[in-house]
This record gives sequence, C-alpha cells and structure tokens, in this order.
Amino acid sequence: MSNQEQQLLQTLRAHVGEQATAVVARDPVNLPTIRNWCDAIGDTNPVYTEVDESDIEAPAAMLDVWTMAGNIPRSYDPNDPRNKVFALLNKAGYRTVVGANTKEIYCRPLRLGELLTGKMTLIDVSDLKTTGLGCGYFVSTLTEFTNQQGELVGSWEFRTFSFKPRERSSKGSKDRQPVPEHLQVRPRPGKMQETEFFWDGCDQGELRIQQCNGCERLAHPPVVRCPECGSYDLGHRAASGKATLHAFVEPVHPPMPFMQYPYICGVVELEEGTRLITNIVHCAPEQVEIGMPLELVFQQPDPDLTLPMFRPAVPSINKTTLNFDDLQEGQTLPLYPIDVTTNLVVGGAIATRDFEDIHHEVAAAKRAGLKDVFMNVLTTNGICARYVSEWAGPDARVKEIDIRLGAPNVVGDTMTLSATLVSKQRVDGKGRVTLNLRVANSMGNHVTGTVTLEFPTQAAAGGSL
Amino acid sequence: MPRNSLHDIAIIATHNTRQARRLEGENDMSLIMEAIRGVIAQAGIKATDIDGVNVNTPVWGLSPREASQLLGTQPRWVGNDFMGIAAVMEAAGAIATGQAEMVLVGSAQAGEYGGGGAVAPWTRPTHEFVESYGLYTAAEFAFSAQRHMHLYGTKQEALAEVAATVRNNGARHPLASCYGKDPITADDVLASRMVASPFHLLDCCLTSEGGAALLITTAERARDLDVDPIYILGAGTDRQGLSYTRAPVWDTYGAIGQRAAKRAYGQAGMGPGDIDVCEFYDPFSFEIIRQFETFGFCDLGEGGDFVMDGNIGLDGKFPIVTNGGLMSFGHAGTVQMLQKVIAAVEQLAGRVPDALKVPGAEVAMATNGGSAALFCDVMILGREQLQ
Repeated sequence: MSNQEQQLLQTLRAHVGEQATAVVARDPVNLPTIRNWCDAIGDTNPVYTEVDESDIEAPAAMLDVWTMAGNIPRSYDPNDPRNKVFALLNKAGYRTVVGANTKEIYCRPLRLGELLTGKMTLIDVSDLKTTGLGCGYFVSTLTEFTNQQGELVGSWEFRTFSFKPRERSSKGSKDRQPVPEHLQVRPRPGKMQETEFFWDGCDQGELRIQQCNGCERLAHPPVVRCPECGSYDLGHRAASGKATLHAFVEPVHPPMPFMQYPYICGVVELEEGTRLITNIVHCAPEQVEIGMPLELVFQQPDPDLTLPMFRPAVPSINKTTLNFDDLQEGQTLPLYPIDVTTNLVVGGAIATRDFEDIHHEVAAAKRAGLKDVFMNVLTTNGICARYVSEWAGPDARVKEIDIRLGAPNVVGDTMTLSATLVSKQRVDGKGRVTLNLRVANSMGNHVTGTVTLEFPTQAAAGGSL
Repeated sequence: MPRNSLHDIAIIATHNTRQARRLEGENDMSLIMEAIRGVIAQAGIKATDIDGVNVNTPVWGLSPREASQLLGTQPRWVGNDFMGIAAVMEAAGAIATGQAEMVLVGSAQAGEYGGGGAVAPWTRPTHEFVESYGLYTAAEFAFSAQRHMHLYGTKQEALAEVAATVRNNGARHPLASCYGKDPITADDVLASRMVASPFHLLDCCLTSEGGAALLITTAERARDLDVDPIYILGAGTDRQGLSYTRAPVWDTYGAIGQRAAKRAYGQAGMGPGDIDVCEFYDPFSFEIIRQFETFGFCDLGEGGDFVMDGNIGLDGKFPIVTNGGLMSFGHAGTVQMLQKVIAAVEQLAGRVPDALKVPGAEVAMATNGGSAALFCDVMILGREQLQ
C-alpha cells in the first residue's frame, strides 16, 4: 500500500468508534405498517396480523424499518461517522458504494406500541482490498436498537464496499469467431398443421397435450392415430403444469452458441401422466434431482420464441410448525423460485420505507448500469425470513440473518431460494437451527449466508401446560 | 427349429478402408471405390458378377439407385439406402427370393465435417419438440444412462470400464482412427472432460471418415469361390419411432432391441450363452451395459456389475467391440452400422490382427442403434451354416 493510501486509511480509521446521532422512530411499532410490509413481502404468518392485538408480533426482519428516515428530506447529521468516511473516500476516488454484508440479530419479537431508537456506530474500516468489482475499502457499522425502556431488542451490522471500478478488458473477444446469425437464436420448432394446437397454446400460456377423443389417452409428441384405441379423432387438453422430474442431463460440450450456460435438459412427467422434453430453469444444475416437483413456466429465450419450461415447484406453506426433534442436520429445504416483479421490488422498497430512486425509478436504475429497478436489501431480508419461516411453520422465529450481498435482483429475473440445515442445538430450552442460505438469480448468487431459527421444543410446550 | 431361408445366405467378403478423423485427399467416392474393389478382389469375382447393389455416398449425395451405376454394370436389384444390419437383411431377403445372387452393400463418407472433426452438435435439426431445448445426440442418450444409474445404482466406473475396453481394442487395429494410441484406463475416461452428464468425452463415439463394403451371396455360390463364408444365423429389427424425437427414457425405451434379439435367437436356436463375440453398437459407453441387459446376458440392473466382472475384455467370456467400434475405429456417416457386421464377420473369419483375435470364436452378435435412436437391430452370425 502506498504512503498516500496508508495516510487515507489512518484518517478513515480515526472515526472508528464514533457514534451517529441516535434516530428515534417516527411511529411506534404499529399494525398498518406491519400489514403493509406483509402485503409487499408476501408473508402470511397469522401471528403478524391475524391474532388479538396484544399477541401480535412484528416480523423480525422489519427491525430496521421502524427507524428508517422515509421519504422526507434528510437532515445532514454532522456526527454521522459513516458520512464522514464516505466523504473522505469519495475525495480519494473511491466513489462507488455497494452493500456487501448485512447481519441482523433479533433478540425477541417486537410488540405493538414499542418505540425504537437506533444508534449507529462505525466499527471498522478494512485494509485496501481488491475484489471482482475493483479495489477499495469495506466500511462496517453497527446499529443497536433499543425500545423506550432502553432494552436492547436487536442489532444490525452493515458492511459496504467503497471502490474504484476495475477497468474491463476486452481481451480475447477479438480472437473468437463470430457466431453465424442463425445460431445466435435457438432453433425454431418445425411446426406442422397437426401440431399447431400445441404452439397456439404456448402463445396463450397453456401447455396443451394431445388427447384421444375416443379413449382419452394422452400423447406427446402428438400422433396422427391413437396408439391405444386406434381412433383418428384427436383433440387436446390443457395440462395443469404440475410435474415431477423423470430424468435430466446437463449438456456442457460441444458449445451451443444459442444457449445460456449452464442449462439443464429434462424429461418431465406431467401430473396427467405423459412426459415431455424441456429445460429445467430457475435452479442451478447441482440443485436438480430426479423426482423433484416442478411447475410450468413459459419462457421466451428469444423475443419471438415462447417455450414451455419447468422450474422447481413453489413449496406449500407449513401451517403447523415442524417438530424440532425431527429436524436433521444436512437436510435441505425445497427450492423456492420467486419472480422479481416491479410490484415486488417497488412494493418491497416502499414497505421497508426505502425511497432510494434506484428501487422505484427505471431511469435511475439505468443510470446505475442496470436494465430495470432492483430489490433493496431490506426486501431481500424479508423474503429470506419468509422463506425459512414458511418452511419451519408459524411458531418458529427468525433470530438472525447474516448474509453476503451479490448479484442484484433486477426486475424480470427470478430469484430462487435454497437452504440446508447445518446445525441444530438446544439453547435455554428452545431449539436453535442454523441454515445455510443461498438466493440465486440469472446473474449468480444474489445472497449467500446463514439464517438462525428458534423452534419451540417439547419441553417448552410442556412447561406452558 | 424351423428352417429359415436366411440360413442359406453367407457374407463372403469384407473390406474396410483406413478410418481417420480426416482422410486428407479422400472423398466418399474415392473411399467407396476402394472398398468395392477390395471386396471384389477378396472374393475373386468379376464386377459383372454383382447383380444387386446397395451403396450410398452421403456427401456426394448418390443414392443406391444412382450409385448402382458406379460399376458400369446393370444390376438387377437395388436396395434402399438404410445402411447396416437392416441393409444386410434386405439384401439377404432379395437373394433368398431370387431377385439377386451377388449383392454389394457399402458406404463411405468423407468431407462432411470439414477439418474440425468435433462431434457434429446439431445432428437432428428438424425435431419439433426437442430441438429448441439445446439437446443433441449425446444428451439424449445420457437421459437413459442417468435414469439407469438412478434406478440401479450403476456407477460411472462401469461406463468408464466399457469405454476403456473398447478404445484399447481400437488402438490395436491398424485401420482404426485411434490406431497406435496408448492404452487407457477407466480413470482416464473419468478424467476426460464432461460432455453431457454422465458422459465424459471418452464415453462418447468419435466422428471420422472412412468407407467399407461387403458382399453377400448364397451359401451354394460361396462354396464355388475361394472365400471364408460367414453365415447369417438369425436377425431381427426393433423400430419404435422417429429417432431423437421422444423423451428417450429408460423405462420406455431402455429395452429397445429386445424384440430384435428374441427373433434372432429364435432363428438361430441360440441364447446369449452361445455368443462368443459381442460387436455391439457403441455410440456411448452406457449402451453396451444396456444391451447386455436387454439381450439377456445378465439381469435387468446388473449390467454395470457385469461389465466390471471381467466379461468384456478380449480374454473375457463376452468380448465387446473388438475392432474399437464407434469410439475408436470409425464413425463415418451410416457406414459405421455396416462396420458392426463387418467386425463380426472378420472376427469369425479370422481376418483381424492377432492382438485382437478372440480364439475359437464361432458365433458373433452384431447390433445397430440404441435407445435414443429409438431403433435397435440385431444379427447373429456364425462360422458354420445352420443345417
């Protein structure tokens, strides 16, 4: 590191330990804000909205929401050590800032009427680091939340990366042979008069399977005579879209210029009892296994080509809480694909009181180099909490979310959540479970990290009798 | 056992050209002419003795009808252009019904793949319900292999053992594309790059150039010639649809070829235990395992163990693909299917390098096609004519 950089680091680190002016929430924990958040995130746990007001708990992942400034002109806090550090970094050329890690610890569920105060401290500035994005400094803050009695209810550690973007090299692209035009898009299906119903169905969002009007036998690919009863009177029916994976292959070589790698070819078995060849999408090759439940999703790999494809079926919500004793280390949670829609991104941003323009204004997102608005961290946090909670059941509580932030969740993409149970133990008569979490989208990992859940145990249930 | 007119038919001459990834200076016309002249010389006949022809040259684009003019003769009978066991059966049928007496079957291909020599990736460009999903031949065959591994616990090592065995045979055949290559082990197969899970590069056939031909006639005519006739003992076909168009999954198409084998066994009055040489179709390593099960050499699901138990080497009970097959001998156009019959004939007639000889081989089985191709043809050949 140069002398200049060492001096910079010294100046930056001089602010470590400084505290910003405490922020008191504008409103106490309240039901309308909770409802709004649950609507936006899609969390339906009844304990947030459906029980007697005295029993209502605020979703743990809302911890930061209460003290967010909201859409009001921010007054500059002269004491804010992070602002000071960012100003110094900006001056030194480290002008781009991205979120790197977020770790939230929830001491206990919040109740209606609690008024939170957040106190942020600058806790660390890293050495000069070089990452895939460029070189720069990681800046960490810790915000501790207390209620009106001064009781610590949770904390939020946030790590950002201020960097000089790396110069992109265009080396190598010159040597490559240009891909002929006809191989830049997928081969178009050679449609026939007899199979038009299938492709018409695709255009209308319906997967059509040929069915004999005589004996009702299904056939795919379509036939001209029923192999069962011999009838030539053939119609079709719409498939429900529910299927399981019968077999799959990950083709890797030779390269298909029109495919996005990696990709999976699958033979899926439809609920109706016939099979078709398709692509399995919205999950990584290593997450694919024979027998996995799938759901239909129409995709447009090229603008004028609509193909029926399949992805992991959205798991159902566990209405009863899993028994802690039944949980096994190493077990995996079902994959959960969620489409990143404008509704989800904008709704999530506003419900978490994040009014940064990049989360609701396409032009602003484009200025930031992305093709559409993208999800804010608090929405991601909320969806991660919802994912593990829907698996665990209504009585399990999220205690900690510790994640590393990666590829942005841009509108039009699909985020797929997955998790593995890595440890379970009893703490103070309750069951603690740690899950390794991964949320992936088409650009890579959106987040990776851990979530800790607390389960009621038999002993605790016995005690309340 | 009922007498079958197939039993009066013999293959009296075979010729393979040199096979290679690329045969510089050759085209399919030069190769087919070499093969034709080779069989004529071997049989000691005149070109004008040939009165039936089934020859094609895919790159030149000559159909059998057009190619029949190559000899400058006027054949009485012309076959269809589907090569391999089906072509030999068709010719045998024509001879048995008196439409021809001496039939030439052959094919050659060169120049199709240019200099690249890679596996042709878009082998099936016109299949409505598969083509848009990034599938190709290796991937379609892999479905079946993967399902078998899932159901029966078949191991990658078993597939690799097959590939290593076949390739080591080809490395010792002077005409093979891979002649002279160093011996490999199953570990080398597993260490080769992945193509389409579970197939590594060395689990897959190659693409190459080359040609071959054979002559078929009556057993009676064969006796008048100075040749080593090899007799057709039984044959059968199994066709289940247009290749590469359907989900080629194990439980639907895994047993493809069973009907063909049953018919062939029935005609020959034989079972798997009577087979001395297995010139099975080897587009991908798993297909050998599948065929051992499908043809009754072992029980369903036990093919993996079967190939690991020392059965398939040249000194084993059921030596496989003794010329190196599609993986290392040659895989040119459709002639590679005919070369399965030729491999069986040459092994029985003793026209193979000493290093590849299966001592005392009396009966051989040749096969074409596999599960993703949705067809599988079987032919049993023997040194002795069935009486």
